[in-house]
Amino acid sequence: MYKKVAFYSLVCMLLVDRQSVMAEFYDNWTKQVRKGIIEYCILATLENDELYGYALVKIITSLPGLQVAEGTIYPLLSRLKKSGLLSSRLQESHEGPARKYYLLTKDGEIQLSHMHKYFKGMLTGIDQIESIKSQLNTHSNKSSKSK
Amino acid sequence: MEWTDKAKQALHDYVGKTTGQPATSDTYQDLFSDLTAHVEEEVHQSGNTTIHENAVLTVLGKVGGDEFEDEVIGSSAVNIGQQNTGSLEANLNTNNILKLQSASKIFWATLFTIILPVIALGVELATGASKFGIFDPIPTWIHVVLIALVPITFILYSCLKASLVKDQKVTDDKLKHYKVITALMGFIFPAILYYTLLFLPTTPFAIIGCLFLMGFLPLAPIVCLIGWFCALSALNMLSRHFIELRKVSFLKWGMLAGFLSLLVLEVPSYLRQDAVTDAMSSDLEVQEKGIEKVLRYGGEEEILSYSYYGNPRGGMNSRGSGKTAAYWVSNGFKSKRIDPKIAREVYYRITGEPFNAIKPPEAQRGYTEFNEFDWDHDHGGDIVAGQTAGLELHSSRMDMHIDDASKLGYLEWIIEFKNDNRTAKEARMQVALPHNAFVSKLTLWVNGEECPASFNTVGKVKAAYKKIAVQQRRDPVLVNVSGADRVMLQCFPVPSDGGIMKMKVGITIPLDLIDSEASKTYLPYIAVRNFGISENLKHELFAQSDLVLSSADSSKQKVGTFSAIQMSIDNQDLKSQRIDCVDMTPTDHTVIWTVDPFHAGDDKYLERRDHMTLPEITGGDVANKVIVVIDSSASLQKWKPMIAKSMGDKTANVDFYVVGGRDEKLRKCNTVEEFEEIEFKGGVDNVPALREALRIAKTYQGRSSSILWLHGSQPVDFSTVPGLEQDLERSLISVPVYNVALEDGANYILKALKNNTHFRGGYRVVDAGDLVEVIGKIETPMGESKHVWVRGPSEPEGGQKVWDQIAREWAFESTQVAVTGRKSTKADKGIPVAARYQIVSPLSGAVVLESNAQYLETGLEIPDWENSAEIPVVPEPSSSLLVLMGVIIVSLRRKRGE
Repeated sequence: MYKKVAFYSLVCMLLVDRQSVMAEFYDNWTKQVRKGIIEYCILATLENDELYGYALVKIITSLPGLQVAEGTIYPLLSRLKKSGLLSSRLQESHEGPARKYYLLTKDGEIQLSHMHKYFKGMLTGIDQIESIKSQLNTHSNKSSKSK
Repeated sequence: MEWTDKAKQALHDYVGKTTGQPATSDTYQDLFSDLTAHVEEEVHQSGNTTIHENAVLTVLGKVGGDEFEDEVIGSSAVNIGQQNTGSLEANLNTNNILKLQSASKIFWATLFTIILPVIALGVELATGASKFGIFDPIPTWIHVVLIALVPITFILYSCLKASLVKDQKVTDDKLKHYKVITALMGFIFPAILYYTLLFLPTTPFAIIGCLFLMGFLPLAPIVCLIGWFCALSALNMLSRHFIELRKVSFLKWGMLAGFLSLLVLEVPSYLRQDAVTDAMSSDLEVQEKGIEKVLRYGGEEEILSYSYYGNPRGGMNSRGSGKTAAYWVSNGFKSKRIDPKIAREVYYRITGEPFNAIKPPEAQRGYTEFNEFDWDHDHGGDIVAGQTAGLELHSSRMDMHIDDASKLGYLEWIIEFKNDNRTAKEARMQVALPHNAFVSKLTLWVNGEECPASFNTVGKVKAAYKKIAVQQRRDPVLVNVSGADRVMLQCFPVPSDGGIMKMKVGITIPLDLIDSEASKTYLPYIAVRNFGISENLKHELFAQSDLVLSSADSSKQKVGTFSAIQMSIDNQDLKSQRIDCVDMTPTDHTVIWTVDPFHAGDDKYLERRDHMTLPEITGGDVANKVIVVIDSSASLQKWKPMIAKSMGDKTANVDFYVVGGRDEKLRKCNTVEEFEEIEFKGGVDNVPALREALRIAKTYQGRSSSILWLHGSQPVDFSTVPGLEQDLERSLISVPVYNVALEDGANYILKALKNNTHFRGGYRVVDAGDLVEVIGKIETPMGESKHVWVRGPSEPEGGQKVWDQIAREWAFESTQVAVTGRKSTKADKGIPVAARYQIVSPLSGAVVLESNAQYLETGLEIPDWENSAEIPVVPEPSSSLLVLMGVIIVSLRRKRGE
């Protein structure tokens, strides 16, 4: 009796553990993908406009599907600034406290245009996966028939 | 915006921990300025101008951690180690949090911190396995709640953890739950640690047991403790990840509350254990201190357990109230046996009640069959001792006849005992008789046939009983005197498995004369017993007389000059059930006679003449001086108002004294106020106080004096009785002591002084009126009605012939006279008289054995039915009897029909 209970418990535990490994893989993957996209979104938001940090953060966090915490954005801003893609300036506000405005540098604008092209190309490529697959299948069928 | 220092510091702490870099670095400065602006925006929107630490923590909580922290500041990992400013927190990320919810962790945590504690608690509640084996881990329901909190807390903690990991954010509700759960986690910690330490000595055995798939339950606390530390680590991880969870933990406060709760729950138990240990000491000084402690801290239950079983750690066969953790701590695996006699004495001194007035502590669950073999240490002995589970009074029937002319009653009490145990048991009881009543018949049903008793000296009948009952384990019943107006009845074996033992006890009862027309009597009742009596059991009484009888709650019948009453009496009402007798046609019965059936000589006509003796008045006062000595044991607390009420009617001749306090000294209190100030507490040895009262009584020069002793039980033989006996016997001034038992129970003083005629059987007192009447009787020297007995060879002239009960009365009075004689030769003369007249007296007892061979073997005479006492048929055979019987039967049937 005791042995059976222990055995089935072990089996259940292993099954559940397997599911957990899968969940971990997914989380790691989305993390990698989101990191680059968030940086792209920050630059894109500042493309034609300067924004103070608080407003920028609120915009980014409200983007549907991105699911990013505010605490993640500020370090990224710092990094982008360090990389020379962004600059900032402090400005007193009549409505409240002083605000730190972010804006794209020249390098930032160039990098953003590159990123636009790359991102669009990547999306186009992803969209073409099915059509390329079908082309490859047709070609392989023909060659097997000729043999 | 204005920042408080703490608020600034909180932000610096956060930025420092998040970046892992010094405050001078660009990264630090950037993040700091960004977050400063963010916090100020948030605070500004809420309408405040000053930024406090809480506001910073709240805002930072909403901002949340950096998902990419390790990579963004990844290059700083080395710096962290070098600068020694970081911690494990630097490595914290979502992955770490996700690992908290790995299936294996959930499985083991659920098994060890939820399922195992629940099973352990359930098994302990259901079987009491630890309670009787090691110690009682759940002595109260509060302990049950405390232990149940452990799995409940872990369930709540698991839910919160899962929710935080899943949602990755802290809402206000979750923050509240977090606070509650950290408080609970803290609260249960002292309990888990305490039980872990208690069960630690059993851990090696439990681990060995686990190899055989047993012994998991004692491991529950230690496994829970490990689980608790894992949970604590997870909580720390969560609080590092979710900034808003920082500094809001109630863990320490919960721990403090848990520790205090444990103290409140357990310290009394340790104080009690210390008190009980001291109270059980054979060193009297330590014992006295122990008793004081027990009165302060409690421990009566433990002492009761010792009183019954001697040792609460006797293995499977032991039965106890459950050993406390304190007992386990102070004794461990050691088995310390206490002499039950010491425990019984201490129990009485603490509670004022005999231990056997309380039901035995709970039997060990799961081992009831083993308990059947518990040895009755008092089997065949002289004391009633503790109650035997499964043994009960099955039925009780009383038939009584009261004779007008002789003013005597004769009652036959048919008793059946039933034993539901798997082994035969001995039934023992002390029966309190009405004043001056005596046992004049005893029979036992053997194999369905009623067998009479043999009457002989107390020593002989006791020896016969012990030989047959204890050694041969056959069917005897024994009755002998155990005190003034009190007899002890014991019979063995009451057959096992629902077997019945049936006997009949005949009791001759002189009526208590009120005036020339009215008299009264009480019924015998069970004062001490070792068997149970169901609440539904009724004593069925039928009494007939040529006097007019009346009693509370009785149905009456009357035919001609005869009347009868019938009633069903609850056991607790038996003591106070009074039968009033009224002579509607008073005639002079001062001279009556009978043919003495027991007398061997020619002068078999025995005549009784009632003679009033006037008191000897030696001084100016005619009234007796009465000293009322009141036992202040706790059991008499309920009688205090009754005594106080009677004090209002006291005269100058009466002085009230109370046996007060633990010093057992006599304290005078003649006013109600003084009396009410005295606390009735514990159990007090009354002998020193009675001796002091005798000394006071003897100082009243030229006046007669008496002592009225109002008492409860005196179940402990304090070895002080011989001194009292000497004071009563050896004195130039005779002072009688009248005893009135307000509360029943074993009484060593009554037993020890059963042959002392100065120590007189009591009146029955059930209310203040009775007490005033008794005091009045003792105080006022009205003179006593004494019987003058004359024998002759022929019918006396004049007088009225009556039943032969007066012959037994003569024998009883002769025996009393013989007992009074201080020379043994005089007492010896009383023995054959008592035996021949078949009465139980201080000199003689009665025993029924199973066969004639047993009588011969034990040197007793073979009894016969000749001259055995009987309930007379009234009136003498005639049609009136049939009419009376018919009326009774019809009325009984009607009553049953209703």
